[in-house]
Amino acid sequence: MTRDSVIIDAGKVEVPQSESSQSLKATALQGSDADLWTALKQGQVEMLGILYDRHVGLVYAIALRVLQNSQDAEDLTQDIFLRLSQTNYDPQRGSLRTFLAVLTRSRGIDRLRSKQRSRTSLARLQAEQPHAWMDTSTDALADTAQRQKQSQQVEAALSALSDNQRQVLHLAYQEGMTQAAIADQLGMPLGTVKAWARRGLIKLRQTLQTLSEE
Amino acid sequence: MSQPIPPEDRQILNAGYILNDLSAEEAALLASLPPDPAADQEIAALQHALEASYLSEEVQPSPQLREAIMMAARSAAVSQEPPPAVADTPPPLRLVSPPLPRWVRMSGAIAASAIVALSASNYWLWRSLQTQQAQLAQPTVTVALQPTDALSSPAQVVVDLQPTQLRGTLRIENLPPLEPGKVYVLWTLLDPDAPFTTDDKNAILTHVFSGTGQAEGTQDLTLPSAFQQPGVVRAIAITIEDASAPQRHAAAPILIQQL
Repeated sequence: MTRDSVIIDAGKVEVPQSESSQSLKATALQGSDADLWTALKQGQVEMLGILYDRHVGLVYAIALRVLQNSQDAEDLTQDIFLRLSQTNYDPQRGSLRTFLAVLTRSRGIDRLRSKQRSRTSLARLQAEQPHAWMDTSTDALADTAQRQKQSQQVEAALSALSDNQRQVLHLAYQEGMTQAAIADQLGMPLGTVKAWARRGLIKLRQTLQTLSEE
Repeated sequence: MSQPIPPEDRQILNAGYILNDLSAEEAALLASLPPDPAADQEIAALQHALEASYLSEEVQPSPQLREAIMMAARSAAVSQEPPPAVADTPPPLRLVSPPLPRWVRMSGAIAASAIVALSASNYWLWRSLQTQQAQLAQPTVTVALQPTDALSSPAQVVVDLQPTQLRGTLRIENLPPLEPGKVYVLWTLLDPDAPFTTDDKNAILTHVFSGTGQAEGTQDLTLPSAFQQPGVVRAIAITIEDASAPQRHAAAPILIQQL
């Protein structure tokens, strides 16, 4: 995105009048999530389509994993995207993709509970290993070996974390708990929980990188 | 724009950004840092590590979902658009068209609403079709009723259940002929706490059939809605009742099968 062709100011993705709508779209496609979200928040609805294309695969996968039903998962996905501009997401403070993932998981669990169908599905979900889920029905055979390798690498990376780091990340991204709730449950200061989560993520990245280079 | 910070501190901020837990001060500090391609790569790698470890591998929904979401979003945006106001300042630099006559705008709004409605209708029709196809794909549950001591002949009664469609089939072989004024009654027996109206034996009268000339063959059934609630139906049974009042449920079962 170049500043002479596109100015993102007060949420408006604006172009000189000589540029066509095609070039506007092409330029918006290169915008950051934060820029697009801000533009969406200001009423530029078409930005939603770009954000949808970027993140729907993740959002729908999480919805499907939690709800175990494609129709319920599509309903939740629709709800997540249609209400995106009304959420309290702050692009300065975090990644939109992670925000969407946490929001989807949290709302999915809420829906399960509200339908009182949660016992079996939640138990299955909580028993599931973090990295074990795969859409095997659509896996090509050629991908299987690669997926297994990645799965083993993730398992190794997780085992390299300290117990505290692993527990905090698990509670946040498997159980859908906020860091404040985790701090409350563990009886630890919020700052400590944050530090464990951040250092755990950094450790995960480093271990995965090392393993993939071997 | 502030000075660069130590790499380890930057890494911690990057991790906080990916985990969405930066404080306002940290967010301000991160935003003030000079652009750094290496830091951008680090952020992408952290995002990848988080997703590989804890989030789901991507799965695409049906293509119709995008269209439905975009139509709904456009419709909501149109309905929330404030009326044009007289402003002292010039409008922002945007692609500008001359103002359209009121009737053209109204026609456009009507057309847009129609498109939204049709699109939504199309999506829901597609969803209904998917649901029906899924229901048709549901396996039929076959239940063979077992004779009790009250039945002397070697009768066989099998019920094919399709709970999602609340349909079934009754297959009968060798049921003994009934005395005049009597009928066979198929009962659905429910859990005592089930939220359905039952008789005093927790049963719902499901089907009545005669033993004369129909004691063999196949009959279609319409099942009570309790079959769609998992864990509610306890058993299926057949009794012989008075034809004048089969609902009294006075007799003991001659065939029964617990589910």
